[in-house]
Amino acid sequence: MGTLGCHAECSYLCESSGAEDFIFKISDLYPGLTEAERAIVAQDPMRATKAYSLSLEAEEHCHKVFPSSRTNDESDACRHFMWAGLLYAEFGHSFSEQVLNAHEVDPKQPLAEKQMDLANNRQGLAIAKFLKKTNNLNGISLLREFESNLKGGKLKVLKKRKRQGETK
Amino acid sequence: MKKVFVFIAISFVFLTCGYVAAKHFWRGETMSTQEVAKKWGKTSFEADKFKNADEGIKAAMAFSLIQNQKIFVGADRSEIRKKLGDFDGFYFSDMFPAYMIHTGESREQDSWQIVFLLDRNEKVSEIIVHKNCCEK
Repeated sequence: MGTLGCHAECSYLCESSGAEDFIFKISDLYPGLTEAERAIVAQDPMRATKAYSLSLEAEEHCHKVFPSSRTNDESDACRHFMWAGLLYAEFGHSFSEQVLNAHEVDPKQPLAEKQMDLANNRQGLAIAKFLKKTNNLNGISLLREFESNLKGGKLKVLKKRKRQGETK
Repeated sequence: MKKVFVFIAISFVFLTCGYVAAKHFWRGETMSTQEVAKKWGKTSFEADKFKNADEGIKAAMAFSLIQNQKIFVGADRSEIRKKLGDFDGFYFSDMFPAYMIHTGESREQDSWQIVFLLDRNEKVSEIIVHKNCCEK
């Protein structure tokens, strides 16, 4: 309990580098990032850039199943599931979870939407972990698993797509 | 003097090409206001009607919305949600307000949405009509 006071090295340990500060400031130019995401970009710009490119790759995979990207429907679930899986394949669990959670730290996002996104992220990570154990972790098998998870009701969807034809 | 002029001209061309390529990368494919009017008409924009409308009506109001975008420039994205309803489109991140105006039946058919671009303070800076899917 005696260690609760400020350690002598606190100021040194908590200080961010000039480069980190600079990147944090310039990341402000892209308005689509949450504060938490900007902090990751500042700490680890290389991995953050890769994570961002994987989000585009996830969307591209989902376009094979859904011809439009929407919010709160199955295509939204797909993006989160696929992004989580692709992140896991690239970075493992810890950094992936950090990135995925940072994306959801948005005070203006409705709670139900946040819960949907977090649930589908968790499922994507869990399936990726399983696929990695069987040496079968790649975009194609993840997408196959997404479709099977969606059919099995294992993913959270707030608003079902109207047209049956769209999922084909 | 001639060499300086040629150098400046070439630099200008490269910078312009770079700017256009970067803009296209960030924005994706967009539709001009003239094309929007030609494709979906020029029905006057009314926020209350837009909020509960289907894609066809939203599409018809798109031209008028873009023409009168001043009323939304500077607005917070939560205000957009309040006035125009929950977002149903998607543009790069969950943060950007986006509303579908045309959904293709398959990957071969285009899907379009109205997107409210945001500035660094998360306020609306511009409204565009963006191709939601798909790159051919």
